[in-house]
Amino acid sequence: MSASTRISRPFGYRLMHLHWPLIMLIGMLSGLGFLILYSAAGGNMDPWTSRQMLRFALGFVLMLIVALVPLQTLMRYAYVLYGAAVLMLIVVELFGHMGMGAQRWVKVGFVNLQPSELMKLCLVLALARYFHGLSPQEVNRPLLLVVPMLLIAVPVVLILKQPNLGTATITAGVAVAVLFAAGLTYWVYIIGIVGGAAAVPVLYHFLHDYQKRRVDTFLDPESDPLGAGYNILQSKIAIGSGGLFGKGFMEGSQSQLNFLPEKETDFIFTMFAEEFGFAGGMTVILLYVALIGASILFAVTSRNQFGRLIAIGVATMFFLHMFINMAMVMGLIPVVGVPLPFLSYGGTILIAAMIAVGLLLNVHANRFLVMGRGGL
Amino acid sequence: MSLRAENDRQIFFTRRALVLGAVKLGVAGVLAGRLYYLQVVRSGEFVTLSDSNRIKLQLILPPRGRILDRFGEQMAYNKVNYRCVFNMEQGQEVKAVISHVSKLLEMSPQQEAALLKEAKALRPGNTLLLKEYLSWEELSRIEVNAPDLPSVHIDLGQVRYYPDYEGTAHILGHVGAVSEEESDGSPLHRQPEFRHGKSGVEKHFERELVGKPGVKRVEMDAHGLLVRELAREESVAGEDVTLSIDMRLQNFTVKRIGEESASVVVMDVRSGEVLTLASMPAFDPNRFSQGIKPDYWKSLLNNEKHPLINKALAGQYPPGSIFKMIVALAGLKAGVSEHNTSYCPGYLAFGSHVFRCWKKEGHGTVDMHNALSWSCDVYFYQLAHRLGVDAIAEMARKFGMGELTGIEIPGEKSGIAPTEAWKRKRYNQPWLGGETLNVGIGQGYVLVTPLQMALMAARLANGGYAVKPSILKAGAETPTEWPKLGVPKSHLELVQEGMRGVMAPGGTAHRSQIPDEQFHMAGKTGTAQVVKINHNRPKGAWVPWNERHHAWFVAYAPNTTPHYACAVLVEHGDAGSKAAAPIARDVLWETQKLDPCNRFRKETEE
Repeated sequence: MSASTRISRPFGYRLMHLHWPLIMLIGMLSGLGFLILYSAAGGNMDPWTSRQMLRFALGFVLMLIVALVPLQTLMRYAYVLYGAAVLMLIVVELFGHMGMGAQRWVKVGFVNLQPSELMKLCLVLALARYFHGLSPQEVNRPLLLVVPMLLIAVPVVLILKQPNLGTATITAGVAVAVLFAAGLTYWVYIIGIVGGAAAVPVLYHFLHDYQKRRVDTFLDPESDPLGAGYNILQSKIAIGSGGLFGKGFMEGSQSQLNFLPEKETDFIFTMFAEEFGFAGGMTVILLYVALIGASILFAVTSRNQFGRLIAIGVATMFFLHMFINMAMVMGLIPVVGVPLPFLSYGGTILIAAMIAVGLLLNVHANRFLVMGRGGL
Repeated sequence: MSLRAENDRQIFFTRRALVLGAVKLGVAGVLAGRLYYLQVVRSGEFVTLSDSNRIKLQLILPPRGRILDRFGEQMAYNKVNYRCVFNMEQGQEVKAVISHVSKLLEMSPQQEAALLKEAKALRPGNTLLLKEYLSWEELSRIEVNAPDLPSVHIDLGQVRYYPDYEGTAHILGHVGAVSEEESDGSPLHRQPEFRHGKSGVEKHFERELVGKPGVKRVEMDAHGLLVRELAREESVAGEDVTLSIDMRLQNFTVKRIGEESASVVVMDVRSGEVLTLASMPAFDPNRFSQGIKPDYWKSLLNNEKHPLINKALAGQYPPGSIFKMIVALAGLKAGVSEHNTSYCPGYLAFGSHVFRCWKKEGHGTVDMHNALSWSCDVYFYQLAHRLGVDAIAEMARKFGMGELTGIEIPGEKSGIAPTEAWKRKRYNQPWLGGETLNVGIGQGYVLVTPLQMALMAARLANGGYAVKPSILKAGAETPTEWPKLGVPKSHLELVQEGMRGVMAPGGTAHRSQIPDEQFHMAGKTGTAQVVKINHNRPKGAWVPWNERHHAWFVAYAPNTTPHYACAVLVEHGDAGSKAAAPIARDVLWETQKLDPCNRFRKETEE
């Protein structure tokens, strides 16, 4: 089956044959998001639910566009998109608005854009294209690894400089997963883990003061219950007091009475678990597991390396968001400001997540497409 | 790339992807396990923490019991205290609000500066008290401007109020915030708005007046703002305390005293109920409970008439001639006949000293009756010398001197009924014979309070019963029959006769008798020396106020069937007959006119 025959399918046919169960899954997750944001606003559509719905609609359109664009086109423009994202990061570095003590936004029209969210996806595309052209044997040639290392290092350093430890971690993690799936030998990982462990004290030294405090608080949360440890303590109280079935919709005292900070963004899962209990929290976790499982399924069923790597990258991105966010609000890791896609309030993260789903749909739609090493 | 190679690559990829997927699934399992641990295993613990976050217990202050006079007139009650409170909210401009309110309430720049200083530490959810005890005018000014003052509201508190503060301050005392030393650590004592009795009846009857605090469980948000009330247990108001005071008489007495620095006590000779207890000048306890201003406090401290001292029971003075009844009774007890006479040439030479009589020319030959009526000093110098100080002290103690009367007002002083042993203990010196002579006319070491003198008069008048004074209205516990003093009735009648003589023509206070015959009183003048008598000073010469003698008068009435006893002390009033007796006359007259029995009789006559 040649590439051109698939692309020439009519638009309606291609739309019909998207993986709609996945889209429904996303709809369910987002729906839960609208619900909990409505509760967070004390039973109001404003200020969060209405805007989140608007962004979902915008994201939905973008998702379909990304899903229906020919995979070859994505491959063709992978490096260009990567370059554009890096450029935006540099713009943010130079002119970005100061938000929450870190340079993360740039105003594009009516949206405050966080380029770092888009950067993750563009990096996945670039790495997928690069490794699409290499065999597993070639992957481990040091000389051929120089380019991907640079592709990874430039955005990670830029995001770290903002500073945004959470997104930088996810970006690096996604890249590591793509390298792993592309065939990088286990030895590199063992060396990496040992080296990383050795570098921890050095890295700790280079952390910002507020980041150091977070690590300290994590290691000893009771040391300062009203200061930096307050958020985590209140979050644990909120989740724990939710019990098996929760306190009920709009009845979460920790969230409704503002004991819980940033309940509409980073601590949205806490609020959900408080109001809907263990049953509700497990629902969210299982929906995420289904989303990640579907991504991996799409990856292993694709006939082209480009699509496979994209799917595994996107799967890892969702996984890392879920893990860092949930582990943080449940007090398993230090406080790292990472949103939970589809549930957390925020424009860029929702749109970026929808685009990521678009990529997954595209990979799935083009799973039978065979592309040469050159790809194009 | 060959198809085969491409297939190999896919198999290789699938292996690695499944490894990644397995890791992710494992991690998701860890998250689910953590969620289970928090929400199922440790749920109870977190439910408790969550509730203690949102549910706060708030104390409801109990309304303090009222203090009533014997007829149920309110002497102390609670008024609404309108407080202007600022509630800090997110992004609120404190400075503008404070300057606006301070303009409306006409605050001084210092007050405004103090508020601004306090406002600096203010965080969202905190409240700041801008001003308390708002007048109606200030209240309405705030209400009218309410739309411009979104975070300012009027809070209702309670404030203790004393309507007749001028006359009752020394009886009732005042209330104030609990200081750190006074606190028993109870939640009630830790309430910043709680006030407890600091002095007077307010302090003595604290347990009755305070009541029981209530509790309300309220839900609060993270900023400490009230969300709703969950449960409420009402407070129990304190008991009312009914005093023996008759407010009409108390007010009359206070007005009668006027500008003098004086004390007047009127008590029922049978029940011991104190109908009037005045010590003037006084202070305004209302200003105390509202937080006393420094300049008012300073003016009270610097006043030479000592408005802060309750002269009725904490002012100790030499009794002067009103002590002569005690000396006379001691003489009668020692077997001295009332018909024994002394000759008074106006002085008595004793050792190297000359003891003078107040009457320079002397009284001539006097017996006990005339010695009392004319208040002859020489007679009592000789009598005292014959008796010795210990016999006099023994009699003085019978009539309540030298010890606390036990009235239910804190701060009472016991005075001194000196004995030889007392002086040895106190000064480590032997008693001198001349000192006994001084004691004989109520000078020297003898010190008494006006309350003790009223008690003495009551025990003299009631036929020798050891009545005790009380500020509470007589109830079932009040004994109808007090123990006997052990003084023969005949002795008392002789002294009473002498006191009637004081009011008769020739007596020292005959001009001060009550005109209405059915209300006639018997009494005794006293003039207590502040500085030594100096006959060289020209008569009528100006003497500085604080060097003038204290004027005393004790009396009881009606003189045939005694019902009321009265003691009057006018500090630096110069002479008992001039300064104290007229006050006693007016007060005792009014006392009897107000007596319900008398009023009833009068009404039926008319």
